Amino acid sequence: MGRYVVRRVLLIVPTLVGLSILTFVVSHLMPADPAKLAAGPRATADMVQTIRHEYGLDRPLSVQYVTYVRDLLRGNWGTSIISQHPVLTDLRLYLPNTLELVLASMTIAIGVGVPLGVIAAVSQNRWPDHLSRLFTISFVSLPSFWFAIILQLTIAFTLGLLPVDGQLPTLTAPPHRVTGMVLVDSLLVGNLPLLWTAFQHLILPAFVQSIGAMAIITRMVRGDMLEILGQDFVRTARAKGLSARRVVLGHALRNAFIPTLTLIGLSFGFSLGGSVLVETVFDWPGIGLYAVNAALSADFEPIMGVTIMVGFIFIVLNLVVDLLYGVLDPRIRYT
Amino acid sequence: MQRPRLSEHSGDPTASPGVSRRSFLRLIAGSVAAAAAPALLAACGGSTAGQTPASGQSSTASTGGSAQSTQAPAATATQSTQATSAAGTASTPAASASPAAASVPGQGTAITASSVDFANLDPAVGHDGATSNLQKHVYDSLYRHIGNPVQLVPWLATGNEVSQDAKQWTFHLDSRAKFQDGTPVTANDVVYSTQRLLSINQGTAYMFKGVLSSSGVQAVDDHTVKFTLDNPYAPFLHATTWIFILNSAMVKKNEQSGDQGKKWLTTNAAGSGPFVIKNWQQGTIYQFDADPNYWRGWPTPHVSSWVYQLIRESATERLSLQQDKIQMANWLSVNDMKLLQQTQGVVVPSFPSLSVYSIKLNNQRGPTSDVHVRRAIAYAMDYKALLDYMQGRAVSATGPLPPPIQFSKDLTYYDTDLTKAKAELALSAQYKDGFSIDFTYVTGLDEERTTGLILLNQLAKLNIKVNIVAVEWVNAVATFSDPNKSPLMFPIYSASDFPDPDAFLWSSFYSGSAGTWSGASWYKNPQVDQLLVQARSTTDQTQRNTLYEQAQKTILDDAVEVFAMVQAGGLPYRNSLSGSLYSPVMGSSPWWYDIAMKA
Repeated sequence: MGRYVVRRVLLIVPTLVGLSILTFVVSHLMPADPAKLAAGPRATADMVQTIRHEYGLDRPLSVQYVTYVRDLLRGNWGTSIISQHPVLTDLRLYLPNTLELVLASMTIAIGVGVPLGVIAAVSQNRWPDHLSRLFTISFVSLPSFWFAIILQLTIAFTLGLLPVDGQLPTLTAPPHRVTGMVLVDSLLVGNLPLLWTAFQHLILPAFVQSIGAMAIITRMVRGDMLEILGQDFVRTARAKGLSARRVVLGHALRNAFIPTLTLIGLSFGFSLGGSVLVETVFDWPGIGLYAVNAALSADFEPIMGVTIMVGFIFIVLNLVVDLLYGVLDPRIRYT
Repeated sequence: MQRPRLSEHSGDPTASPGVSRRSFLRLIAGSVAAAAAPALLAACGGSTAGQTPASGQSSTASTGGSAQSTQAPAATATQSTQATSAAGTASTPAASASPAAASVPGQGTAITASSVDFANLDPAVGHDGATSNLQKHVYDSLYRHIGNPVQLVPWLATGNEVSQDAKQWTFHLDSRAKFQDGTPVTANDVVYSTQRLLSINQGTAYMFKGVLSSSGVQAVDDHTVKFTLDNPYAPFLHATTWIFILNSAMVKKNEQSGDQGKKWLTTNAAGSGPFVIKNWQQGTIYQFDADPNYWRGWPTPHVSSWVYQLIRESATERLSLQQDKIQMANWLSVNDMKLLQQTQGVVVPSFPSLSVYSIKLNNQRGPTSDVHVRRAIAYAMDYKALLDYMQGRAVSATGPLPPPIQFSKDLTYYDTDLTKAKAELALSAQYKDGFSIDFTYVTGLDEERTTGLILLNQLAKLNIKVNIVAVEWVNAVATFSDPNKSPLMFPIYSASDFPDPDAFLWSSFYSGSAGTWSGASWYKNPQVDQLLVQARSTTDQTQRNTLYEQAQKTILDDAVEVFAMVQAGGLPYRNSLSGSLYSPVMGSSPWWYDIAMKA
């Protein structure tokens, strides 16, 4: 097992190298000129060249890539051409916000999706199953952007039950920064009123972000549960007199959960990169918006930074998921 | 070729152009902020074709007024120059009034929302609509553009002297001026700030290309600074409004690895302006407090603090404004502006701005390299249809110069006339039988797409097939620098950094500007070049006007671009605000120094 983990960790490096090369090449193949964009509408050719030179864009691509990697290894993730902010500073600023949003949304997705899937499986073809099907098909079909605006209009603006947008009220100072996640930092500094406010601000965006994954998790759990519940060992467990709860949750779900675990890992990764719509509607200053703005500006170094960071998280997440397989199913062992 | 102007807007300001891709709209430059004043467009009636706004009706009188007033400061300097002594220098009277002895305390915190984030606060680097507004609050410059009609007023300077040849400009600093840390503003700071801008060679440095070298700025004494220009430049006083004066000692203290303070100044300020940064949450909100120790004092009621909040969805902004969660909103969609017009407590102003919306025609390649084709397109364009689409948020264009500074009464414009369009196209040997052409626009900008659809419909009647192509802004910009790649037809908003014809005409029609965003038409006409060079070389306003009129006539005759409309300026705001809410110059409004908020 230990060797397996070490091997997987060592594989992170070539994986990220490949990812960085691919991203670098693709982003530079675009017919774009971020230096000209940054220079402005009336910038002269020499002004554009000044920016190009400052960011090394006038050097051969291979030299640019090698320089980028060298700087990366020294902890310098580059600088945005458009904003001239260091990429690492921006990532430190925006990534925790998205992590907070994604963690909350996945908590909702798993916390609701798994039980709903179990209930649907156990109540197959009865009204709880039909109702869950209605919810899951609706949630997976609803455009998240549209759903976000609808919730904002009704729950926030019209009913005034929850805040409209942002992580905190406009004039409220954020807590002292520890993790960068407002909710967590509020808890860590012991500011309970701020914690409550931050929680209220998180509810709507996290819920909207969760619905897609929630729907898929529900259907996946239902399907796998149905398959497992029909197997001999479950029949045996029932025959032995185990309670329904123990059979379903202790035996069936544990076996049915492995595919769902894979899905959860993938959903987490996709949420990390696909949160831009929710971030836009709720003005959540996350990495999705940052990445989209960078892409629209052909801002190479933020694009690279986001890709590498999200790629790294994705790889680590997959490793954690793979290791969890072994926890769920002792028959799975890695060498 | 004459058409009515300023007659289309019905006093029913509704919506701003659809601007769903806002992240690059700041690059359009010159989008102005909100207004407070009687809706000038509501008062405008029909105007006779060929008349300038100054000669039109009431609303046009306002724009004419602003045209006159924008020229006034330069005229003042010119008149002073003409009344020179044998020494060849003249001086303008100290125009800055002494501030009130007692400052009015600030009251209230106003929140303005926008979908556009600040890029870079460094005054030598960041230069777009949002950032420049912020820069003008935390920094001062020798002169400022204020108000509507625009006034060019001395600020850090008490006045200036300009030589007869318009090459030597001497400014006397207000001895009371001090930075936010309490240290006095000196001539050395002006020298440092200017040289820093020129050496970094970004931001507004383009204004001084061929005009001012680093060695041309000197401190005569602690409170006198002299600029010796490489070449005469009549609008130099306007251009000085974009040299923000930095606290040189503070910047030097915060330099990192010889970067001239660039990294630190990205999110910090070293200025003497009336507001200090209180809270900077990148990507979220920014708060600025009125500096009670501001050296000019606070003679009028004003807010004690203002907040710039990022709200990326137009509907959210609109709702927030309606519910008084924010007091001003920027970059709203057409529909949201229309809804706000019906909201009690919300003012939706509409003023002629300095933002000209034109369709750049590639003068170097393809069908648009033929002047007859360009004229045919200009005649075929349905201007009224576009204005109808804008629902009162635009007015007719007045040629290359926007209404507030269009002084000429003798220009003739292209009106929609298919007969003339056909006749003109028939004069083209190569294209008279029709052709296919791409209309390229920036994806997400609905008014641009609508323009393409209008042309598609109109040009089909000339047997010209229009292909509408959507591109990302960053890709479009990359093509401008090559005439063989620059789009054949491309709509763009052109504004300028100050209200002088040079700023508009030089950046779009001087051959040396070809390849920039503004110069995407790749127009090269030595005659026009000569006129523009001559016009910026003299401070005689009458002579300048004559030269600019000749240049405009040539530009119009060459149908370099299709001047389609002028965007209406003015942001919607709560009626609890009053004061300097609108100025057509980029970054000059809202001017929170002079905005009060009722409780």
